[in-house]
Amino acid sequence: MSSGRRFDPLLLVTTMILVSLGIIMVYSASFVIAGQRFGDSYHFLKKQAMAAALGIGLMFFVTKMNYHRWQILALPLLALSGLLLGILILPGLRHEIGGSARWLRFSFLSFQPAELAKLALVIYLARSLTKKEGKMKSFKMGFLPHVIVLGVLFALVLKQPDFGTGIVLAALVFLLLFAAGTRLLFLGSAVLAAVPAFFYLATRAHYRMERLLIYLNPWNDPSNAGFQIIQSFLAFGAGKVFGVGLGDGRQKLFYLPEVHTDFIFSVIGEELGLVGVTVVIGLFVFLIIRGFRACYRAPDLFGTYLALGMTLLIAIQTFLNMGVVMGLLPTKGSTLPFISYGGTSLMISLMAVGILLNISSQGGELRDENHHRRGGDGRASLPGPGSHGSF
Amino acid sequence: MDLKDKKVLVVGLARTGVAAVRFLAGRGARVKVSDAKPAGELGAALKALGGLPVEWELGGHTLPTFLKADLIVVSPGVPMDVEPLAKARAEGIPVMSEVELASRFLRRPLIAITGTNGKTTTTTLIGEMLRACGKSAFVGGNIGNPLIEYVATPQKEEWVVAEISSFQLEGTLKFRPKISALLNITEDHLDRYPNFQEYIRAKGMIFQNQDREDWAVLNADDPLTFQFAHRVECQVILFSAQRPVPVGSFLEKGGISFQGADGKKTRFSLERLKIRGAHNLENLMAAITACMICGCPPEALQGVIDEFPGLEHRLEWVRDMDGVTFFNDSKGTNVGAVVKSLVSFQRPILLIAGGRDKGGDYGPLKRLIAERVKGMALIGEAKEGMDGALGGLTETVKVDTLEDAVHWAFSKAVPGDVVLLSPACSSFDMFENYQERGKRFKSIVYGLEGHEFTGPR
Repeated sequence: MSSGRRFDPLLLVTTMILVSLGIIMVYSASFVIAGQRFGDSYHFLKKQAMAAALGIGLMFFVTKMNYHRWQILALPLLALSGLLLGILILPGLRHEIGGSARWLRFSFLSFQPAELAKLALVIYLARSLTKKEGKMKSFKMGFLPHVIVLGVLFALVLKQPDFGTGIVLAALVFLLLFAAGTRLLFLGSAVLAAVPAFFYLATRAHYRMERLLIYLNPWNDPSNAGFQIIQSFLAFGAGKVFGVGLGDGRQKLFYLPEVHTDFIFSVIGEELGLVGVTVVIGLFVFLIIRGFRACYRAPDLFGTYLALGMTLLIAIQTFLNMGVVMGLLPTKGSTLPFISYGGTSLMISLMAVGILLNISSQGGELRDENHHRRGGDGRASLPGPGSHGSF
Repeated sequence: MDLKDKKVLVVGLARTGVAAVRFLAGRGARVKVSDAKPAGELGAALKALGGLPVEWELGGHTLPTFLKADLIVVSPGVPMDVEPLAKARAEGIPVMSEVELASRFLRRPLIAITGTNGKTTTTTLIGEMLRACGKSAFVGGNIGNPLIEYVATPQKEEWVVAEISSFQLEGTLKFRPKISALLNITEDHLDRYPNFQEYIRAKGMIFQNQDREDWAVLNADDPLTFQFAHRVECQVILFSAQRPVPVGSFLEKGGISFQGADGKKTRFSLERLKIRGAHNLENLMAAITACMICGCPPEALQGVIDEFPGLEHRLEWVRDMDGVTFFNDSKGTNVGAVVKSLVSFQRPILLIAGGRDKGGDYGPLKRLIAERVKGMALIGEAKEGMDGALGGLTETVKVDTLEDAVHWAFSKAVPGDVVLLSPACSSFDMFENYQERGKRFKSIVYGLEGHEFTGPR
């Protein structure tokens, strides 16, 4: 609180609207299944509301915490994430839900280490990129260490298996490295090198290839792999402009396992229509713009990278999720920040906002060009237009 | 709707047209009939209408006839887009199908069943189930008696159950079933529809007037069908052979479960089920779902599940005798139908086939006969040809009569086997039609006594 400035109120309000909308939509998407499975149609609503309360508490705590302290926590958090992800895939402790092991369970609490890993990775990168300022052109210093960290985390989440999180982690690293001024040659070669690996991974697990192909034409296999995406299309179609009305959607007539988690955006499309979808996309775009604003105004390079990373964390997941739900990207597990059911994801997203709020509270007015830090080749540590221009 | 002294044109005679003319004349309408066929081909229909004050236009349609009418009623056989109909519609003359006309006079709640396949079985099953629950029901529509015939009666039944074809659904405006069921949509009748989308649209017309007090029963496994779940105004209830559904019927632990909106689950056993084939399980689930909405007690439904023999001559259960089960599939007059029948059984089969060859290729039967058919008795003109094509695959005999075939098959059967008449040929060499062949088969089977009987070899 060095400047004693107020944090960004618009960012906070936008976040709270999204979280509230999320709780409502989770209830609407889940009450039938919750009623039948748990005898309590509020089951998922209660859990999501509890996670939201906890998450908002965490967010305010983090908002009050000077973001520079994350520099000290960076490595311990990264190590903890790696450890938890490792525990998750140990043969004796593996606890599978739907063919993958993503949750750690402590009696009544469950926790998704992959979500923590995303946050820890961003903090680690912000710290490391700051420390290596001026050395980003070096392969050994600026590029290799970050890619190694990515490689380890990527391998761990892939083991669950959770390809979606792997993609998010990789996108985070590459975008932040790009912003920090790594040679494009390194990034380009890494992407090229990843193509055969990606192809190998996609063809090795048969369900992954199936998902990849099915997104091209879900009607080829309407009763199995394509079922969910077809339902999603039909839901958007049924919603038309104003939606069929909250709670009146028809997706809940089917047991769609992911409708209140990964596919919640299609419930919004169905029940609130194009208007609802546009408002939600608008809220996310606004939130991301406010995130970039915090990044732009951050008092130092660590703050800039940290704010950029947190904003990208939300932006990448939002983009991936919406793309999957609307059939523009292959189906894979990814949540819509703030809205999808899932306590860990919600709490981590809220913490990310908390960090952004703290950075915004320390930021000054728009600084002049000289003051603003740049990468060695003149690439600013600001997002390129492509980062959010996809919406 | 007042028809007195209205000039009503009935287009297309056939059975439904005749019933419509009778009904309209009975309501005092001035009826004219237009049919593309000449009088010579309409003998029976004209005779049936003898004595009624009807004007005729046979052997073709003329535009003035259509434009002079106050109302045009179209029989199911006539495409709704023929030119005179289109012109009349353009002139503002109401054009409706027979079921639309009937629905205006229907005073009982209607259960309407449509789909590409399985309509008749499902309609019949629902009728049986309602009756088993002590509810009276009229069963008809596209099968048996047309709806228009029913509305001329005092309408004393509690429910009306009707099979509705997509042809009948075209030309509906206010048609509104209490419960509608759409079983499946596959590419059939493309001869009549310009494209598949048109056919799907026609099927969807069954829901067009249903509101929140009405129900749509939909197949959750067929995306062309379940897409309507997102489009209809009424309440939706599903059935599925592939996955549990929150509200509706699904397969579970070898039986059928029905789960109501209250989450209460009712189980139905399939242990004594007589009808065969995966498609029949879907028909059964659709029927159970509709009847549970009607408030039928589950015990009564279970009784029908245990006893229902299937439709006559279509893989119809006939009798259990010394552990051997007899099925009459006399309507299986082509190779494709016999393939479907053979895959319906997990037990060893003694097949009775043959009749008048329809010129098809017996190749598709080869693998199934080698795998599932324990013995085969061939009859009729086609027996030599079939023996040549299929005889080497299993123990085969050529006999002269259906009696000999049944007796031989029964003598070869041990408990657990199935004796199946599924000819893959038409019946005209030995019988009047497939119905007579099937009835003859059943009477032979009913006449069997004990296993000591060994038929002539």
